[in-house]
Amino acid sequence: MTDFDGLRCAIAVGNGVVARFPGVVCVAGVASRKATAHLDTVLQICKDASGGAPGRAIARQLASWLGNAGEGIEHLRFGTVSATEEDGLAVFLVGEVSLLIPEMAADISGMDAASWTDRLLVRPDSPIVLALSSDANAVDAAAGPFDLQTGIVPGDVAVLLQPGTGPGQGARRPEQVAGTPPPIPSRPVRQPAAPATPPAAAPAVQQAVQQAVQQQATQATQAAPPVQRPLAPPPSAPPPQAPPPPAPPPLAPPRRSEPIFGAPVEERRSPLPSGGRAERREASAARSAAAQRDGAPKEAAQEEPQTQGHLCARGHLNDPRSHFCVLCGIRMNERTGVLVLGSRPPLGLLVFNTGTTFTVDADYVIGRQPEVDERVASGVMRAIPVEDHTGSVSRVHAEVRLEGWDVLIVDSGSSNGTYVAPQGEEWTQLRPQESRRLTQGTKVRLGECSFTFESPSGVR
Amino acid sequence: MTAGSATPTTVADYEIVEMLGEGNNGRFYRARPPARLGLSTEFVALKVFGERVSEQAYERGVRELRAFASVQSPYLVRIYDAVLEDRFAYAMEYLPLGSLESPTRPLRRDAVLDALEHAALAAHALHESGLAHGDITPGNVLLADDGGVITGKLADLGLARLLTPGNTLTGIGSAGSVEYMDPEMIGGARPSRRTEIWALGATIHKALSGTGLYGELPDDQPVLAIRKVLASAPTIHPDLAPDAAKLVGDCLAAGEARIGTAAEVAGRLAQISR
Repeated sequence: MTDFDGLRCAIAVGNGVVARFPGVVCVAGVASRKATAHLDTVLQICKDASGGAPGRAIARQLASWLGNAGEGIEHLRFGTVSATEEDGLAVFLVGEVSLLIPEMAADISGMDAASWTDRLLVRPDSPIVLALSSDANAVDAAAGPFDLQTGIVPGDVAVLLQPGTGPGQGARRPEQVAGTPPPIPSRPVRQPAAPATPPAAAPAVQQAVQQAVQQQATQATQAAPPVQRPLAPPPSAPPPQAPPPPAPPPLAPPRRSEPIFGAPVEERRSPLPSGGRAERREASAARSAAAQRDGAPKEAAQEEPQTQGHLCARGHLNDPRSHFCVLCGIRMNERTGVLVLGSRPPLGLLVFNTGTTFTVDADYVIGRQPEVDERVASGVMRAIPVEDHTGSVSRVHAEVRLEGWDVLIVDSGSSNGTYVAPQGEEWTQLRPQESRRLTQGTKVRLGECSFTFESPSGVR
Repeated sequence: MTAGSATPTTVADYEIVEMLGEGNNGRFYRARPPARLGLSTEFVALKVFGERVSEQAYERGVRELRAFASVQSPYLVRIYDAVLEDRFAYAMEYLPLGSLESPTRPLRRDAVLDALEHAALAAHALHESGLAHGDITPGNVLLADDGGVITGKLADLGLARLLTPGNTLTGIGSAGSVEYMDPEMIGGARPSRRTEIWALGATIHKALSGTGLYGELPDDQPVLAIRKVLASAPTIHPDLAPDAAKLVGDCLAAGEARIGTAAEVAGRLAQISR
């Protein structure tokens, strides 16, 4: 196998930046001037760590830097692919950046997680695409003759290939190599870093790229005539006068189905309580009545748990460490504060990177199949099911537990670990069964999935 | 927590025609209904939930949908069928005019006000029957054409809390839907008349002014959207007509100043100059 630095690095010209140093390739884009300094930092980290097998070191340094990177970091997106020992690859993606290995149908995005996506992969011998878009055709976009050895050039896509091959062709099919290179004089691409506008040569370059793509497409299908095709990619829409499809066979009925309209209703419910001050108590009473009636919604923490706290002037129970009432914002008078037993209000929110948000007023089990946990089955804890396409999340991965006024994250002995980063601090991994208190802004990662703890009281 | 992005060709025994949109924990498709329903309409709207649900959660969903369907109001969409395959889905009437958020043709101001009034009446009918909608937004006020007159129909009962207890905001769709949620609900309050009237106020504001109460929210960054909503007070757009601005203000008001019932909101909407 060719070593990492022996791979050819083809690029597609664009508004972003492609950089290559020994052992690492980086693609980055900035959406605002505020992120320019951050871009420089990323390139510097790559450059400083380069040489040999810098993969793990680069991932570690990027993670540590990102945890403390200041203003404007949200305007930077970047991805790095770097060599690790034993012919592996370390991938680190932030924001809208994709790593594709078309032949293995691998598609990893920096958008897979709220913070970043990092992965260790076995290096394939087929093309590896690092792109500022998730376009599956990105591999073809870099079909030019380019081969970046070291340096920083304008570009949106970098494709790592076996030397002497073109994109779209793995080393497994060497017989296709011979006819591939388009008749364009090769020239090295060495340009200073990233002016905001594409270089003047871009149209010619794009044309050359498109010609190359054309040739490849032609060769791949072996069907279309070699000329008389527009330079633009062929339209993807079907021909306008397609014959009507034959009537499909009837589909199998679903596993379960229930008629809704006109179906009998088990019991008529009483109207919702009227608005106004007394509503909270009434609503709560109505809820427990409804729960008894329905039987089924075995919702954990049905009855509000009792906790000791300080009352604000309006009677809201608060965390004794809080200086302001969480509900009405008025200052707590700590001196006269006597601990009182009362109903604990919700302690915050778990905001997942998908936007799904859970109220922290009960204990949760998070995982791929949290319902297998008997505490979920028995209704003691609630479930947060996480969709997972990569096998990185365990069936029961982690728990969120309430203890007094504290919210704890606990790793449930997961295979891939639970990572925690309090606001402004570095990521650390929890040991199995280790618990950590969540504070305002703490980020938590379980495999591909991540969430942020938002606490209205902000007690640290 | 997300589902795959490709549009399937079938879901259970429904034949999918196209995706209509995303929101409230799932996706909507235009679909051809199976013969077993005996429907005379060519299309239905099929809502497919993004997350796996258990049999028990499915049964809770069916109970809630049946309760919704039994509420007598011309301003609620009709729901036909619930199915459970690997996902939970339900079918409802397909309304080709879209919603107040994205109508398929331009709407006159009087039609918008009518549709809002209908949505408020629908919410009131739900409340009187012991249900809270839980997710009133412009995207859930669908539009029907009754002989040239636009009718608003409230759709997409918020089932997320029922299917996954503790779920406050649903993920699929934009994080921007947080702007229609009473901040008390973000703080843990459950849907009630009071929170629904807040949502009606936010919906009226968006439909009439074209802007949200919190300005632009970062759609793709849920944490930032929630922080912005929690950290700032809703602002009523200065271009809103005085009677409409007063109504929105009374829907958002703190404490007992807030309007008491959705029927009252509908009554106030009827009085707004067309």
